[in-house]
Amino acid sequence: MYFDDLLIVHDRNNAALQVTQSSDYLPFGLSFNEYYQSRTGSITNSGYSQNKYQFQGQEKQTGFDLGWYHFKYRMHDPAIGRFGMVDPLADKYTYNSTYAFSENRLIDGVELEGAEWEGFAAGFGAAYGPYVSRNSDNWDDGWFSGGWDMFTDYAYDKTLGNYDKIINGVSNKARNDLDYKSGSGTYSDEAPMPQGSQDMNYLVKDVGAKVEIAKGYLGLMKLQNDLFGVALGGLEGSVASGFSSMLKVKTPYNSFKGKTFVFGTDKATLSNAENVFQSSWDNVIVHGTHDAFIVNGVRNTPEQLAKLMYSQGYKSGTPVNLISCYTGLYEEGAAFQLSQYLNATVRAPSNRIAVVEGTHYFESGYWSYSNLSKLIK
Amino acid sequence: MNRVGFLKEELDKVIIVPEIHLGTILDDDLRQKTIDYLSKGRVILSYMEISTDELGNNIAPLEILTDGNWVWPSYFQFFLKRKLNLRIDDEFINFIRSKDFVMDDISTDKLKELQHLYLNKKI
Repeated sequence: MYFDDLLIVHDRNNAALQVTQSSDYLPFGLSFNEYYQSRTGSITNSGYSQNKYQFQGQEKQTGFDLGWYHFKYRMHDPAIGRFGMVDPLADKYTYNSTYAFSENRLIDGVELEGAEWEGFAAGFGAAYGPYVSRNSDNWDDGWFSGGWDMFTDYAYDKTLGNYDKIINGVSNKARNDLDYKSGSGTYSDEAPMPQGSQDMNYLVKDVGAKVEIAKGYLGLMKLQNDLFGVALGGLEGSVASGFSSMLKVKTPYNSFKGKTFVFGTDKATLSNAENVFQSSWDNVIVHGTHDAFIVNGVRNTPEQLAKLMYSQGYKSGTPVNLISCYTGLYEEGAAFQLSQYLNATVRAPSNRIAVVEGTHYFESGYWSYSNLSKLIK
Repeated sequence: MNRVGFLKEELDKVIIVPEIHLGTILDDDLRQKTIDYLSKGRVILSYMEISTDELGNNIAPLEILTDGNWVWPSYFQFFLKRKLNLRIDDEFINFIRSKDFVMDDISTDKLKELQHLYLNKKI
């Protein structure tokens, strides 16, 4: 059973529940058993406005008694079960009638925007389709490990014949493309949902930043005995309530491994510092949020962190791996701001990050890059 | 391998969602023993994130801990102390009771294996 629409309206003058509108549909969307209660006679009640978003959640155009449904790209006439216009993608899909509604496939899918059929039944892309966006396994992942992923959506790439996951407006495909172009580009939250294959270049603006997908952590994991030899020991006592006592430590900031800057003395920070690997970029290890950094329980702005880094011997302009959760999530978030103060490119994770020996582990995130060229533009 | 104590997380905020916690409400003695047990957990992953509660207060660095049979986040103890009516998975409580609140030793190899499973979202 697929519910196109269910709208519950509370009427302050009438406490009793009542149905004011209902409709059944034939497969192509023609209504029957229609019922609509319009109450206009009462002074205290100006009547119920009719819900026009009906079959498949689309707006029914009732003017001139047409009864057509307004999909994004085409008008659908449910009486004949056909669109009134030619498929805008007709030249790509020659197997399909140019006027066919939902590719004449009504059992296990819906019409997507007047451009193509889209499946929702389990068994067809169950983990990907927007109507069944998570199978049971993913449900667990989404619920327990990160909450519902607000930034995940899916687009269907017809040319590839598969679904492409969109994260923060950037699809896997776009990110992969970016991996191979050492040039630039960034994602844009404002960019419209990609349609087909023309989308990616549109999304990837040349503004001197790039995104890259996290990969390759398998087979690289080596854990150190000494790290695990230490039991956590009274978490709240030693860490959470210990924040205030840690503040009294005069030199909470330390750095080691040459060009790695470590801010914070808690176990999580130190174990990440222990595992970090050095490249030609500087590493900065600090607890982060989308807009700030937490050093031993104290919130630091990007400017404050930059000052700390300079005081530790950071040279302006040296590119930085910012190993700090969520700092690369927003285009003008913590990493971007830090890059302004460092006058350097900053590579930061969009989600959680942990360093396991030999690699960075992301929880469904990726690196995002920030530097000055964004401002210049 | 089971998960326990994971609450709903939105960015760095941890939010209590009562519906997903059907189980035992602990009495004081049992709660303290559970907290002590959890505090002995071994770390399998440390994130560069400070968990904050629903009001934005810092809790602790987010770490994933284990006793070899169960996996829980570092904020679990915090909420167990603060939210007296938090319901805990019966299975978990029965398990640690059966162990008499003593944690088994975990070998480094086992920890490696658990980390591998966790990173691959198999836990």
